[in-house]
Amino acid sequence: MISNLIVFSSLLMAGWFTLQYLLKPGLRERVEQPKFAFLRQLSMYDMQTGAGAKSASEDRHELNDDQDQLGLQVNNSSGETK
Amino acid sequence: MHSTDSHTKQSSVESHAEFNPQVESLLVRAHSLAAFATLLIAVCFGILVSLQFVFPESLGAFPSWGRMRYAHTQGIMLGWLGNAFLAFMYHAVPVLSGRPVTSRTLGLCLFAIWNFAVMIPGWILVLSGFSQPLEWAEFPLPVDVVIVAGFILAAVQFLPGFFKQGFENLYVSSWYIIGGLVFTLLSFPMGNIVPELVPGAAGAAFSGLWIHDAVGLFVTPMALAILYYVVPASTGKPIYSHFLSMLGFWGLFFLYPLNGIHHYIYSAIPMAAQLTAIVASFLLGLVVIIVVSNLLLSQRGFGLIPKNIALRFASMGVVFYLVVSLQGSMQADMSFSSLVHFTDFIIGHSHLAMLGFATFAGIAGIIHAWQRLPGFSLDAKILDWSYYLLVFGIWLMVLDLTLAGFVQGALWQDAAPWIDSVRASAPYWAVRSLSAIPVTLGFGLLFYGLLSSRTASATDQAVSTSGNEQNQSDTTAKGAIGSIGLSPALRMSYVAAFVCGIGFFVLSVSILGVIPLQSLQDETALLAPTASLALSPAQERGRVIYAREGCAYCHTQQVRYTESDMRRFGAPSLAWEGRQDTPHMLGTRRIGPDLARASGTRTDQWHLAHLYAPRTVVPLSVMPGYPELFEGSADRPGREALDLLAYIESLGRERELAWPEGDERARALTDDERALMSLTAEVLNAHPGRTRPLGLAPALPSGELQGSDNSGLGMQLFRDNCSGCHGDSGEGDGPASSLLSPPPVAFTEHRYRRDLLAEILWNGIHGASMPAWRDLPLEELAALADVVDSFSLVDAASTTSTLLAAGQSVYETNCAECHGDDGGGNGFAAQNLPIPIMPTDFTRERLSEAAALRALREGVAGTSMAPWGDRLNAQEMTAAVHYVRSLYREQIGDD
Repeated sequence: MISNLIVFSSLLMAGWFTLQYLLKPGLRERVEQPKFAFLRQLSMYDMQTGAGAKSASEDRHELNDDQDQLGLQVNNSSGETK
Repeated sequence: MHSTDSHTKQSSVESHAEFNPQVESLLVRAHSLAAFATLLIAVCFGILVSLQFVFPESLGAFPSWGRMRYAHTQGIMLGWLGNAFLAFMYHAVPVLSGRPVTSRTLGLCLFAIWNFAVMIPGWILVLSGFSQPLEWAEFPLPVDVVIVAGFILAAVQFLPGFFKQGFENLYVSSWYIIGGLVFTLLSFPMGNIVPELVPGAAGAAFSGLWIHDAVGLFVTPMALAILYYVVPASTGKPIYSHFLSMLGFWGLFFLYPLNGIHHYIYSAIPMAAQLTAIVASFLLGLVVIIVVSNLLLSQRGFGLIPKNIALRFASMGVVFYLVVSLQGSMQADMSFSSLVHFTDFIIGHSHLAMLGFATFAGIAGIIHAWQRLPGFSLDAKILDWSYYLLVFGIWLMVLDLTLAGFVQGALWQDAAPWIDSVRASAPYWAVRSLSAIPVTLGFGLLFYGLLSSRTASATDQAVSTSGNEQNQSDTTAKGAIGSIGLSPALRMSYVAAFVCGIGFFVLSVSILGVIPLQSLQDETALLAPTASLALSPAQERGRVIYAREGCAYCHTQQVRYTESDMRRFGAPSLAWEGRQDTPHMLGTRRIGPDLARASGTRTDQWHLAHLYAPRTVVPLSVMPGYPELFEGSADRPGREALDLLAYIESLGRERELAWPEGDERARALTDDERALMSLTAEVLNAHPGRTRPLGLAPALPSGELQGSDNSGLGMQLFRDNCSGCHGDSGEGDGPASSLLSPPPVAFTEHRYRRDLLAEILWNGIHGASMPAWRDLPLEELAALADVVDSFSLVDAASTTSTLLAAGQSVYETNCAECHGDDGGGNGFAAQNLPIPIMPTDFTRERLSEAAALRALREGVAGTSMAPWGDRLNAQEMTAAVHYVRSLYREQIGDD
């Protein structure tokens, strides 16, 4: 009984959150914001300290075309949501 | 939903926020190096523990197996992973929160506490015999208190920055760090202290919660925090979906606490709690698929083996996470659990979780942080080598243990002799030990890589940084946090979810801990015998020794509600049977058989010989010997050996004494389906292999053993099970022969009629060290009987009527009162002998003339057969021997 309650209330919460996420573009952007902000903080940290330069240069060998979109996404993350 | 205007306004305000990610390089380095140092020590303990299974006689100079096992698991979880997570957090928290951690001094205190007040004292204490016999909670209570203090300090050190940042701005790694620290602070005391207060199955319920919470609420959140950090940091791309990551986060914290009881499926814990855990385990599998999909999608384009070494470790960590989580969901399935539970499958699973998933995440975090330390660069070749060595070693170990688990489970379900599972496991255990070579080399290389990474130019920088805290360290950067305007509604939903998460944790403890406790207490009050058979002081001391040496880690004390368990160990354990077990000893692994009903299955001498030198009585045993409990030899047990023996002999005795006299009353009192199943089981009360006095022994199902044409099988069975006592050639000169009284029979000097041999093999000899072998199939018992027959050199009696007449006279005067008028071993005095071993039945057992004369002249040690050499002269003894040998009847009904 209680286990059913837990399971269904969990699913209900997850379902409700998913529905909100899908139906409301504004919420979508807000929920996704931290991942861009985090990347920006990483970049700022790496650039301003010079730390991780070696690692970053390694990564760049591997970046594919998606990387181009990254710049756009990161820029977008700096306050101006799409 | 907020308007764009208000959003922009908020962003504008936030854009002025200061980004000051001052990383405490010294603490990153200190915890990283401590992590690898403790890892290598813990791995050494693990290797020694594994070698016990390959070279069981070779580890005498080290602390006992159980103590090293405790040191191994606590070293991995607290020493290695604890330090690795702390090292990562010292790098990541300032970047994630944009603020430095609370205090470097606090950090130094935390480092000192974690390593010098937790790890070193913890190891010393468990190796010295002060421990808790609880999985993942083996350090004793005083150390647990210090660990809680450590977690509180860690929360003070790392969390304030996040709270200042605001929930709605938190990246998923921040959530995992907050969740990990908060929930571990809640679950650690529950798992380490409550089982010390709550006995039996109820205590196991709380213990099970911690077993899973240790992995689910401490290790997994921290490891996922690292993966969600390292993946985007290494790819330079944001993760695929922050929404999915948050869905995974809440799913994990809602569902993980509900999983704990799945470690005790088919146990006495109420079925409702078991079902809750099973359902939650399946749902958790779905959550893990979401998390793993998100992480894999975040790495698109970087291949299976990325060039970036931190990403490479993280990627493999994700794969490990997927596999280990799906394994976990599968293991919760009842039918799959009945096959693999207690086997090496579980050991493989736990290694995949801790040494695969969590360790690879930890390494990824350390490498990422270390690469960003000023002036420190890592040798790519060293890291490459360590990666491939670790991947190879860990997969080898896990696959090997998984296969071993299937083999062991199949043999147990097939009712094969227990020792068959030990023999079948031998090659797998050897491979497991060999897999430690690449794993240790991999870890060693990583450690060496860190130690040798310091460059000359960096030295000055590092010294300068550590020498002046106020001086902005080289890793400090200042700037503005990217503005992130988020609605209060989202903030409130995160806060509400976090409160719900804590609510779910409390709910999990209620559903899986408190309610089962109440239910088990009710069942105990209803069904327990009114007179409690409390442990004597010696048994209590023995219990402490049993716990101290980790016996419960190889011998469970729970007969599950499964057919194979009931057939092998007796009726399933009821809740009241563990009412005096604080902390519980239910156990989670069976290397040796379950001991819940150990009472009466072996003699004291057998146990003492087994404790002193296990392979003397069980040639294939991998159990460590405990000669330190003795005063030089097995026949000189010290007090601790006698205490341990007293405890073993107490196991199951209360159930045996209480039932079946009380089973009718109990059946009338309960309508619980499973309790009734236990009360109506075919074999009630005691271990099916218990020897019993004549008349009380269960009959052989088929009456007698037929002949077998499989002499190879018989010889193998004899070597595996009998040669330790009876010797390789059946001459009664096995390594244990000098330790047992009465000594093992020399088959060369005895001939048994087939029906007697069958009875002895089936029921053992009550009062002697000969155990019952009812766990062997009848075909195998028949093959064994053939082998015993083949050893006999006893010929037919050749005698004279004069001798027989004289012998009969001697016999009737001196022997018949015990051996019976007809020599059937059933004289009127036989039932009241001081030693409860029945006199020889001469109609079914013929001794050689020499053996019979020796027994008559010298008596038989350990039995009631007295020496007659000073009461009968040589002629009388010879005549008596001729007479008793003539009583033998080859077939039933022969005159």
